[in-house]
Amino acid sequence: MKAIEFENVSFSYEEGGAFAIKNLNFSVEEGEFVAILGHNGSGKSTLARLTNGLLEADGGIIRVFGEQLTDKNLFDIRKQVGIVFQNPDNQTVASIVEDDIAFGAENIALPREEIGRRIDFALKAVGMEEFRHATVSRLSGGQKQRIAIAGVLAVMPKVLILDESTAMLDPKGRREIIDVVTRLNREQGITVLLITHFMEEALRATRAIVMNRGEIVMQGTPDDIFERHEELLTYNLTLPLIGRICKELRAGGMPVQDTLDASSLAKEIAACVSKQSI
Amino acid sequence: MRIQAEHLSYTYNPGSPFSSAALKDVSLSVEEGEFFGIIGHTGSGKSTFVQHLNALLRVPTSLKKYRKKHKAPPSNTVLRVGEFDLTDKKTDFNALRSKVGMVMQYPEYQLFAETVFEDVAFGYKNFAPEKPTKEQVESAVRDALTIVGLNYDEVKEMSPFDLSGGQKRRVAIAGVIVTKPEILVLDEPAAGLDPLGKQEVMELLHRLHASWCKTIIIVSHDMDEIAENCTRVAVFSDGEVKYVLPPKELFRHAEELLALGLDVPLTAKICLALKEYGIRLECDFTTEDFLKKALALQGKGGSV
Repeated sequence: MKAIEFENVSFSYEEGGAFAIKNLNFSVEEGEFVAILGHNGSGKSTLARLTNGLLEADGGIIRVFGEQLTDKNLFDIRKQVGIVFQNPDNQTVASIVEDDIAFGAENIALPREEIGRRIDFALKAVGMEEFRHATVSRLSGGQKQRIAIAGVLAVMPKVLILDESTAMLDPKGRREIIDVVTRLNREQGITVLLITHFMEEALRATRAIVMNRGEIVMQGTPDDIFERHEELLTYNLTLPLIGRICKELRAGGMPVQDTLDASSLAKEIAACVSKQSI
Repeated sequence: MRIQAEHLSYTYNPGSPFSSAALKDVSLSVEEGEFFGIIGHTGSGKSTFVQHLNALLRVPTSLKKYRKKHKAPPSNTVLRVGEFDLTDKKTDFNALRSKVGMVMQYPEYQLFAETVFEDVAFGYKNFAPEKPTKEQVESAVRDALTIVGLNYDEVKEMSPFDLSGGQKRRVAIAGVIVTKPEILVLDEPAAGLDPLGKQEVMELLHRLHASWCKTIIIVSHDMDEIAENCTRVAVFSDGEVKYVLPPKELFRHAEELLALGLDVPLTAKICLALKEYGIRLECDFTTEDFLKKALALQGKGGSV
């Protein structure tokens, strides 16, 4: 089943202005983990906001689980597509963690006991059970962002969109978020769209999409995408640092395979070195 | 201007149930001309420290309120920036602030004026000793926008909010450096930008270091950025300074840094992993030097 489907969708922020999204066709299968890459202003965030109707397309059709997005079903569709934004401080509404998580679920008028159950579920999903009664403002950035995710999860969406949700976090906070999202995708089957500037984060995805000027210009597994580094550069994107190092080593005559983490690159280098010395 | 801090402590909300010690007896000097890095995880005290440098946070003895409460100045605290003594309440803090520029995290959130020109001019007018002429303001703003890599005539009349993320950040930086500070402190200058934007900001900082600002201090979580750019690095942890070393020496302690919950540059991670294969690779942890040494391993059979 297709979770999200765009058919010839266009959008511009000003009437007659440049297209932020131009005649876009793309779809995401249920259960996929898709990374969306692109430089600032390439249309990534616009795409996210169109998907749950925060922005209305100028033309084309958007379907969520087969149902066309219209004014009438907007609120039903928002229950299915949750977005977590960049700044954790802009996404909290209550002072206590459990109240904050309940906000979305309260808004869709769920019975009280159900809300309680969903808070339990959401806290567990993001690994923050012991912070149920904590004060939101005293949490770290990564913890706040996990609470923001929990608030979205309490509505039980089938699709989770992260719009540069890790950009303002430190490396530890970033890892926390990516781990939580990966787990939600693998264990709960939640479809994930991860919009990011960190090329390393895209490596977790099953598919990567590169956007440029409102259009999809590259698509494939993260490995495929990063192999086409020359092309990436033309869209103002760079390889992850480790990719650049592999490439330079090869160019210098050390035949290492492309790899994506430090310890396997060390293994590659060690293999090349020992072969030489024998 | 040299920065000299000795026995500097700072507690938020002292005497209340929320009291928390952010700096504990910190001693740290930064020499004129350095490109200095400060690292440490969230809550380690690094922001509290840099906010002291232009007196956004004040040493208690420099406050009247404190003087009233405690008759004698207590401490052995020293905090000097060039000729300014920040422990003394008679210091001209306004003059200090024009010499020590501070670029906060996400400085583009602080843009406020209707045009780029007005936004950049604000800082200049604020710090000018007497009312500057129109020509003086114009030439200062032109210089500042030019050095951050923007075309003055193109952007001066634009709303700063119509610019791209990377351009906004550069306008915000221009608004700080327009007073030509000798020391420029930046908290996460490249955070949240796309890879190209990051590269442009780092190039800008080097351009400034070579021209207007003698000393640059960056607070960063990006260890690759630190390894590539800094002359020395201070590691903050739990309100204390654990190390002050050039990156070349600091990241030899990769294991200790990882134990502190900090990241290390990718090059250091690879060197650490190579040890398990009995290969010692010594480099200064910049990508360039790493590649050179790694390639030299070939043919030497394992040790450089």
